[in-house]
Amino acid sequence: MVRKAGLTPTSAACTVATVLLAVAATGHGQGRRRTRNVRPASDGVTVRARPEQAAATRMTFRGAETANVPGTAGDAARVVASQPGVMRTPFGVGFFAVRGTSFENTGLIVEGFPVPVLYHFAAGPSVVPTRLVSSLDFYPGGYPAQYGRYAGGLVSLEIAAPDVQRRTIDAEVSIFGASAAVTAPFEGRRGGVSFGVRRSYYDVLLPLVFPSVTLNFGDAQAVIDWRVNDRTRAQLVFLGSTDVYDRSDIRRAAGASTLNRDGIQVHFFRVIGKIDHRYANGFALNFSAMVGADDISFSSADTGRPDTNIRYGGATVGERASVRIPLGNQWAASLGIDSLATLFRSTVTFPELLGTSIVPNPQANRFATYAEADVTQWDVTPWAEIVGRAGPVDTSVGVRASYLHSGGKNYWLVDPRGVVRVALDRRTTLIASTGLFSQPAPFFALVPLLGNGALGPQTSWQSSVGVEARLDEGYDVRSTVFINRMWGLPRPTNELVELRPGDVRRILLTDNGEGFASGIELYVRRRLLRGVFGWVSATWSRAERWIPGGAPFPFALDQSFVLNAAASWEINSRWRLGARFALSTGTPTNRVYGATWDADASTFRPDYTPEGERLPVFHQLDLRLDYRFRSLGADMNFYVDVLNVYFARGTEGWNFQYDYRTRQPLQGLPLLPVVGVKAQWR
Amino acid sequence: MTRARRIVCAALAALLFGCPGPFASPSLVDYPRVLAVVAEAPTVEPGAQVTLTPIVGGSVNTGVFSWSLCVRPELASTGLPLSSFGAFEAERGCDTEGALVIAPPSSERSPTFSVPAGLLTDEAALRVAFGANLSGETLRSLAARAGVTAVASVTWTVDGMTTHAFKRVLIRLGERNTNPAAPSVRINGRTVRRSPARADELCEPDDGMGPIGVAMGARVLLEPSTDESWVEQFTILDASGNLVEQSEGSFRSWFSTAGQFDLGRSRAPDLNPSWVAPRVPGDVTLWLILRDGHGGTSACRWTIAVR
Repeated sequence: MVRKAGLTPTSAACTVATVLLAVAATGHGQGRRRTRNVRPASDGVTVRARPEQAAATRMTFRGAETANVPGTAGDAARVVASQPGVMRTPFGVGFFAVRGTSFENTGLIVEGFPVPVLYHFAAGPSVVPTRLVSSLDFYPGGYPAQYGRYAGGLVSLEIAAPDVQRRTIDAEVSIFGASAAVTAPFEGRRGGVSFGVRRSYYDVLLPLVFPSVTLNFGDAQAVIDWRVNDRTRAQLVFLGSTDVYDRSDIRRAAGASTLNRDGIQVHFFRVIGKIDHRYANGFALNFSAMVGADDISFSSADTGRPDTNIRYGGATVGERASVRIPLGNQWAASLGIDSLATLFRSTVTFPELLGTSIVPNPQANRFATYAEADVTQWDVTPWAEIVGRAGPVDTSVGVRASYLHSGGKNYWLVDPRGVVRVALDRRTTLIASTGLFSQPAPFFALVPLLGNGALGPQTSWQSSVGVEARLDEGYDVRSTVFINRMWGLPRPTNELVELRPGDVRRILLTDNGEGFASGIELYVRRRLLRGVFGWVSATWSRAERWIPGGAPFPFALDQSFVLNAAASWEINSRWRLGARFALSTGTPTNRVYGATWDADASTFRPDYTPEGERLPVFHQLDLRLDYRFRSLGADMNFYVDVLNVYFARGTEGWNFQYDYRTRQPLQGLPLLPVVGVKAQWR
Repeated sequence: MTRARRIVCAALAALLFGCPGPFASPSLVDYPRVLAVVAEAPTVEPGAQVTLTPIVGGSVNTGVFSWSLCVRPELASTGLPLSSFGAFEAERGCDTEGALVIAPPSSERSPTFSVPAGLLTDEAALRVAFGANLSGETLRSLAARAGVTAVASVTWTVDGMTTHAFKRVLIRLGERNTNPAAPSVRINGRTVRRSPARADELCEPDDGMGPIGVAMGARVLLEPSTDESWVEQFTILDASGNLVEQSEGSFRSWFSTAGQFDLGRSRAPDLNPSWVAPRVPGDVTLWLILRDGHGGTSACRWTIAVR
């Protein structure tokens, strides 16, 4: 048991290393014992860094086993947070900042099409349940030409085909939510259909502690998969998701009632249809299309100020078509065209922004402004890629040429990319990649009033060199050095922009930010062998931003060092134990050395030192225990997933006294036990 | 919810999310502070004079004042919550990088500054205020339509402590802007108000029956005057570059040397805060600062005897 008191990063790391070694050592000595009435666990390799010629690095996660990694609360998609190059995000927020890029630069796509969120609120599970995830590919950078629209990494989920062998019913109950799903074959096992639904009950439990808070999420899925013939397969997927957070306090004083409120709602659905056809001579055709709708809103109300409401949403449609053309035995070309259009309407009610030569109020501006606008963004993107082998050298060269319409302007974005892999010997491969990755302005930055509809696209030039080695005893090692140069980044401002002489406008966002990130990643993985698998990933990096002509400063999410270690030990056919340890250095923050009283706004304004400071080192240990058994005619899995076992109080920021003379840490996630049981009837 | 259940829930919440910090209330004046600065007048024309009077608390000593008047850049960047780009930018007085001092400094308690007559046509000053990249035509147009916000910085050194504050003064042609009428407050059926003969912010009960007395720990409702006959109309150049007309508001801030307010700031409909007297006897000083959201400020300071 690690005690909180006196725990240092070094001692914590030693403790976890000891646990991992103990787990591994015990695992080596364990034979696989199975009881007759318990279905054996999957023996498949669950985590793999399998080579892909077109990508510098791709981490692929397959199968439900991945969901048993501790700290994921049973959710496969959260494994990404433990991968090299991924910076730790505060409060377990389900967005990933990768290799010095920002949250919005990491794409979250399902079957090739973006979704607004991948995770439910409050450290909730993925919007796509683990049982529906066929594979999850994580590209920390240098992803292939078939993908685009993101200047950082990419998280790509593929939907699993329903089981066509038998009818199954799945159910799960945990302390936070419940889910149910049914799968059935049809057409003589040529097709399968699956329906699922999930609902949290935060809104039942939370009011017991926080009566003014409403929080819930839900999602529903339907998948129809049909093998038309041996060469053709069609799939239709429906995903729907809803998240609601609302905190309302009615304040009654002196005979008056006022409302204090914050709320966020995210609702969306996607319908995706796809058809794949493979010809006998190696040709392959893929086509998919998507229609969906988003409805995202933020609202707040407070005494003495106008209510704030920001809402945007509408339709989103897209298509992806590609053909693979074999060019002899060693080479192949892929050609494709994909398109995406978001046709959103946004409405904003907000306290009036400060104009020019204005004296601020002691309270928020009492004047409200309202704006509504269509925010339309679409692109049509042909792409091409050639991959092949010549001796020990695998080569991939690709290009995306995107015609983008955004903010009423049109852009051509040409992104060439290349990857070379050289087999140094039977076990060792050298990998080098470079390429451009362009991204349209993020949608929330285009909202009128608060954003800037004229924001242009941003681009990163990503390059990396790495070595992969396959060692004995099931170990793989990979080390990668990366550099990212970024430009056209949206950044906050408050400047006056001259439209024409005498005509100015104040803008809050502009797109001339620049950035640079570099680092080295180390990844050691043990494949599932004798019941033990796990990995250790470490990233040393530095990420900077600057305004043209200005000095570089650390990126807000920069973490010099991030360490993740995860291990799972299948003790026997019933029991499985897992542990995950995370450690990261703190993100930069302003160092406050005093404050000046603003006599108009009646508030202190903090004074910052130029050099800033860092938040304290973060560390956290998660444990997971699974117990499998049969009951009620079902395969059951009882689990306890405890996040932050030794109750480390991570500092995610600072709360200051009104005059900035004292401060206290804004603390992260507490100790959080998740207990649940899964059942499957076949 | 029963009391026991509330306690259990509060304990659970504290265990999970930590206890809120014991931060001091911003309304408690327990060390030397500048609470407000009154500019006479809040808006002046180029070539005119402006007198600045600090409203201070937390010390009975006079101390040393140091004043300067400048034009400074508006904030070059803001810390929007959605931004993960980088650092926040500090908002400061005349020690802001790039600030341009426009009048000789003063060490008087209540100094009078002369505003340069050519300020609204001084391109160097306008570039500091509005931005270096704007054309001369745009700078002059902005100055003519919106005026320029000068900043008066004050440093007050007293009792071995130094406190910094700043106040904006609008330099604009053809705009009348007066300070709000001095506020009065009704407490326990008695009204404290400022005597027209007094130059400072001291208020006294208008019934001439001496200081208001309250019991230790007593809760007192404070009812400020709601007269808003002083409210003026004015125009601003909004964020979209349009001239729009607005009217002044009334924003009240409350301070005391002891005790506790339930509202440190009040405006309709939460107009009347209550104040809980300390549990030790003695005289307590209270302040009400009334601002109009257009640079205008007035104040009322009175004493309550806690028995």
